[in-house]
Amino acid sequence: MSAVTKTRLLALLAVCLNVAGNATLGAGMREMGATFSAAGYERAFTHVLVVAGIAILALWFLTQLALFSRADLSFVLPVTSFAYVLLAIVAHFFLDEEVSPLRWVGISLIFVGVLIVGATKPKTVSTAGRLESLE
Amino acid sequence: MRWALVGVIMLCNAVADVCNAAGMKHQGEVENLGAHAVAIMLRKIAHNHLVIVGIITMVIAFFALLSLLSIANVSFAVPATAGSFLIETVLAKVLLREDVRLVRWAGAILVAVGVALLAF
Repeated sequence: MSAVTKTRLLALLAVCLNVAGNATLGAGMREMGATFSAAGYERAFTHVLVVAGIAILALWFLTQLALFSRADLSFVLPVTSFAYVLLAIVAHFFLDEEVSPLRWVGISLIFVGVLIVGATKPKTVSTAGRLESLE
Repeated sequence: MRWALVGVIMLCNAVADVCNAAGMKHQGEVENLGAHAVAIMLRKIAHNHLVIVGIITMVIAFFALLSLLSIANVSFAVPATAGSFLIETVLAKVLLREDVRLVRWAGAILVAVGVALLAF
């Protein structure tokens, strides 16, 4: 498997983990109801879906860091925005949330943006180039 | 107050992503996500100042988002943070010296506009 393919698969994994984590966390918090107090958050952290959502998001963060080690920031950010598209689909079809027509337009624009950036080379600078600019 | 929080979230997200991207590049490429590779990655992160700063700023952004969500709804919070895509693309070009060409700008702008439209 080529390095570029590996990077693209890692981006796909990051997107899936982001969607699964947010959807699980969202479902858990919705069962909790409005939560603003410290006691409410404490109670939330004992809810199985909330804990599962946080655990999945922790995995997402590790995947995102691994992705940053292999690809440009200007590649990772737009490409992983595909999570917005999947989240809307999950929210609409599995969580029975309303998605307005204008929101579908926004989702379509994100999709096209992801396709455009996803077709570019993931990494354009060497590690040395980055270090020169930061140290 | 809400715009001050939006500013904090955008700034912290931008700093976090730039620091994490630079720190992880400095650390070296992660080849796979097996238990051994992840353990090595985490051990290196413990000594990686850039990623530590990135994580701290992510935590600040998270609490600022919680505060914002307590005084404004999601339909304001999500599009308000869409501008960070463009700010971070500028930072990627200027600070990280990435080769951001017209195609990437076009993609980033489409994504930012698309995220802003999620408010409606």
